[in-house]
Amino acid sequence: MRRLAALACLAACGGDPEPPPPDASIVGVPGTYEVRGIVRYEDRPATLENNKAVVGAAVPMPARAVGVAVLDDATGTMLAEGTTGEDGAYALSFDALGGQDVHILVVAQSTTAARPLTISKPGNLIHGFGGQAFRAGLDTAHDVLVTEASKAAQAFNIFDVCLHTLDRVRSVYGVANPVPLTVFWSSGSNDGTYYDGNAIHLLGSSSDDDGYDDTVILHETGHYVEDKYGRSDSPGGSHGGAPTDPRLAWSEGFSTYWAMAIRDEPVYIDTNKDGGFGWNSDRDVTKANPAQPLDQRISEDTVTQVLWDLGDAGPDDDDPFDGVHDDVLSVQGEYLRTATLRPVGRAGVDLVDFLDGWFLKAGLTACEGTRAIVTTTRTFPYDYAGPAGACPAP
Amino acid sequence: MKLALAVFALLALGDMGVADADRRFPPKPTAPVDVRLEARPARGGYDVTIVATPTADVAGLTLRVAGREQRVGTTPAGATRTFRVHVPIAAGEGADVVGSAAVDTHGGSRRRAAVLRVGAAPIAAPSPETIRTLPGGRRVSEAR
Repeated sequence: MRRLAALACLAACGGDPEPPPPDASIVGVPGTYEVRGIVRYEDRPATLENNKAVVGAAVPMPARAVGVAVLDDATGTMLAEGTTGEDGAYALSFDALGGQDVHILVVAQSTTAARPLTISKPGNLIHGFGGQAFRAGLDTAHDVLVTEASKAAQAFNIFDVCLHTLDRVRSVYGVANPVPLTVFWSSGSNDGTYYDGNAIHLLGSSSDDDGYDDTVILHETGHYVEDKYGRSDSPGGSHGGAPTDPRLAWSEGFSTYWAMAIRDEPVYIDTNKDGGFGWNSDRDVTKANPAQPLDQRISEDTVTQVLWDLGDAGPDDDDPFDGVHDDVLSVQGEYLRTATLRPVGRAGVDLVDFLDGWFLKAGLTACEGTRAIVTTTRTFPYDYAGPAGACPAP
Repeated sequence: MKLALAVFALLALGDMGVADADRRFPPKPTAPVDVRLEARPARGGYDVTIVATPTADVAGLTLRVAGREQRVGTTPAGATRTFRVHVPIAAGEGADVVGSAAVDTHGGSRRRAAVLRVGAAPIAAPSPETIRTLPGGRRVSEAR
């Protein structure tokens, strides 16, 4: 009868029948036990609503490639360790007494050579989350949800976002083992959001928390990319979209473009407690001054818009050039990193030097489309006379 | 009295946004304006003032405190603009006051925010956290 009921549920519910009841006879018995489940974290995707940047409602997302361990609940001794898959699933075997209280510890770290990534608090404390205790051998299925209330969910969102950067570094720059990436974020942190040459720091303050601002996180990983696999000569300084030193504009504009290319979406969103801001690099047009020389002060937004238009394609593309984002991104590693730059524009890497490398990558067949994006739409006075050769006159 | 002033000064410091000056590494893209909130006790609550200073010439500046807004308009770099709002707070109570400055930019605006606690400090439950040391010496902050 019970079997019939189970079969009925299988047919009606569309899932597996109820697992067999736990075997109480294993209580206190030493053995090797198993537990499996799925680890998820609460994400709050940022969106733009009426020019206001806001984080949305919590959505459970799989915690990919994070560390997962079984701990003895009483002593904290680690009994087994592994990682989750791309779907957040894990399965671990561990030695314990049957019925012993244990719990799952999820760790925002990957120690694999392909994805070396750690999300830390100040003091190099790695972010972790502990699930509810369960009984070894008696409870063999155990899912974990990293909640926002625990103040750890943002760390796992940052981890997931940064995985995309490491994966893209491997595919675009042909790097098997990326340089390890560490990100510091903690609830309440007012240290600023920046890349310091070794690690990324993200705000967690009550007025501005970047833990769910995916494009802000990716922007900072863009600085990691140009530092480790490309080149930056940025003099630093504050920047807010107004014309600035062309080397700063290049570095910031490229990093924002990196964020957009990774997400394949031309939108930058930075939420804060009172609305933040966002903008669209495909729709917006920020012009340079056509009467000024190549080393003019320029907006980082102009740089991002040029890069996006060179890399996008398809039915939503509003420019005449069908490109591939990876081709645009690859100019960092294939040209800028090692090139002897032309003595035009500002000394140091800027948009002029990228365009020189772009034509080496794309060839002079890209002249007409690039001219439409750079000169016609953004009115930047590039000279089309880089190392790939001169573009034919329009 | 000294103690009261000290407590007030501590509250007034609050979370006033992030100073960008002199940072070696560029901060994230931001609104070209520095903002902070200041508060002083007033009858039935606090007078909260937002102090905004654009870091570049801006075509428009809008200040907001506790949901009330004032349009300032064109403002040169380095010029400070303020907007004060009375925030009612009952005796023994407290509140987080949000303020922001929005700067007109091409195609929209960029807003920078600050938060200031006025009145009694919040009663914050300590978040359960345990430090775990994993093999290899890795130290993990376990939240639950």
